[in-house]
Amino acid sequence: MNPRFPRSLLLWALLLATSLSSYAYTNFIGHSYTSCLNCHYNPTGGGPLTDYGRAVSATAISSKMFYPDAWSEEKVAYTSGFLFRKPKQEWLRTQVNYRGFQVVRNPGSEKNEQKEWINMQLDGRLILKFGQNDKFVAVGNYGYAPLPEGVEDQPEWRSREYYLGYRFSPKFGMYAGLMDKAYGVKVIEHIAFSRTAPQVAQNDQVHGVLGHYLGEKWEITGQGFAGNLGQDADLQMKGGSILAERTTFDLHRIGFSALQSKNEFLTLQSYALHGRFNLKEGSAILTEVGQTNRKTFNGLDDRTMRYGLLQTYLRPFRGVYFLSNIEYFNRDIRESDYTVRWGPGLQFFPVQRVELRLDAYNTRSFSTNASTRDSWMYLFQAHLWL
Amino acid sequence: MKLFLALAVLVSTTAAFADPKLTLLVNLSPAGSFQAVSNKVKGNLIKTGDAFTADKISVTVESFKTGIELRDEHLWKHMQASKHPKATLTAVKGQGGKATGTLEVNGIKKPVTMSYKVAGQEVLAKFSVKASDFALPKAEYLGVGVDDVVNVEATFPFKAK
Repeated sequence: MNPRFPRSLLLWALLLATSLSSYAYTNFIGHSYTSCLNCHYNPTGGGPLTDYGRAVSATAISSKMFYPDAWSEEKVAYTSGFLFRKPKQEWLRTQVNYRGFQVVRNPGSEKNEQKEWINMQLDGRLILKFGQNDKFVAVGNYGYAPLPEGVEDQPEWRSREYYLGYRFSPKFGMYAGLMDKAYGVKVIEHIAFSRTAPQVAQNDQVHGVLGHYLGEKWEITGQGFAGNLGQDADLQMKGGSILAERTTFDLHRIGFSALQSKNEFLTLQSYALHGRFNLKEGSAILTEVGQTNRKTFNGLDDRTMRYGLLQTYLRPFRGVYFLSNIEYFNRDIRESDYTVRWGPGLQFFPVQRVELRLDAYNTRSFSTNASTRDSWMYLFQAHLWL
Repeated sequence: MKLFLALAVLVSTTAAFADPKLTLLVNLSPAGSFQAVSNKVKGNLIKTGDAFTADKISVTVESFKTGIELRDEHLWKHMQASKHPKATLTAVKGQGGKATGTLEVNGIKKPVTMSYKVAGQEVLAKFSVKASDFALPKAEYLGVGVDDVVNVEATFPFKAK
């Protein structure tokens, strides 16, 4: 046997055993978590989970049906940690995350049905953290992610997030590095119009500085950014954003956000109102309405886009969420044409470290000048953080 | 009309016999909050004229539910439920929207001042307490702490004398 084999196997096992999600689950306001900061190192959510976030994931989000009856909730919480146990030191966390989709477009159509498995994400993360309440954090990831359509000169293996963060007090922190733009409700669906129109989807991270204030009622994030410095200089979207949320009735959040970004070809100005509502027992409603003004350097594609989002997450019992998703999109508000996408979904966390999700999307275009058939898409997602 | 009357009777009957409810509003540090709710509150609240009195109102600590089992267990343990299974409010006197009483948690008694309002056949009362006043240790779990001040809201039906 190759003497190096056991070591490499062990390394892979270590990596696989410490994986976490990079996506934000803003619907977890239904578990009374109004802010992302308890469960994520990134104050705007997404990316690696904190130890507390992992414990919540194990004891509130995931089903307990596959655990031995004799296991207490405390034991379930501790097995959410590194190597299925409570970490032995405080300063280092390593994680690996995998997410893949089976997409079926136009199901049932003899001519147009397309099936495809897409590996959306496989990345490793490293978190260094020091001080009381993880006052200083250094977070980085590196891994595989497919390139956006039309982009070919970028590597598929790359980092999509790395930053340093320091909390001067529990109320105020500063973060610098490559991060998501702070804007709107960070829903998990990167194809949502509310994420694609303002360009805040899964490949739109930017290098910048982010300030985060967390008060009793208000949570405010301001960000200035210089674009993704890995891109060509003329493509880098430079600008800033602000995201503000207020807690209402102790349980809900309402907020607004604004974002301006610009490169040599395009200027985007976006603004949105949003709400996240706790229906208790893990159920929640997320909603956002917004607009993006788009100006092109030659004026050929200047327009204002308008979008709306309404998502419900109903949790009949632990581990299961019934979803419904309704989206509205008008790509040019001077015209009356618009698109509606809707569909149900089912999200299942059978055990900690496994998420299975099934979504159906129906997209219908409403136009005064043209007639198009509805399009259907089924999507099965597997998300593992072993 | 009959349907309307039936609904009105049903609604008023439901209000008249509404269960008492006690809610603890707990703020987390660095962020967020949760509610611990108990519907197992016992005692008699008596209305005499525009004044309210109660000799003893009690709640079983292990009847509080937070929506997450592990958090329930942590709350009960933190409130020393095994040693002091009940929290009580005694010598309650109220008039004009203000009330006083003596709260006993973890075997320690402290006077409390409440504000209240009357809604139908119920009293909705609010007050704040400091966990440290009742010798409860600072609560923290995996880096997330609990604020010392806890807001309490109680909904309690009363009987007119």
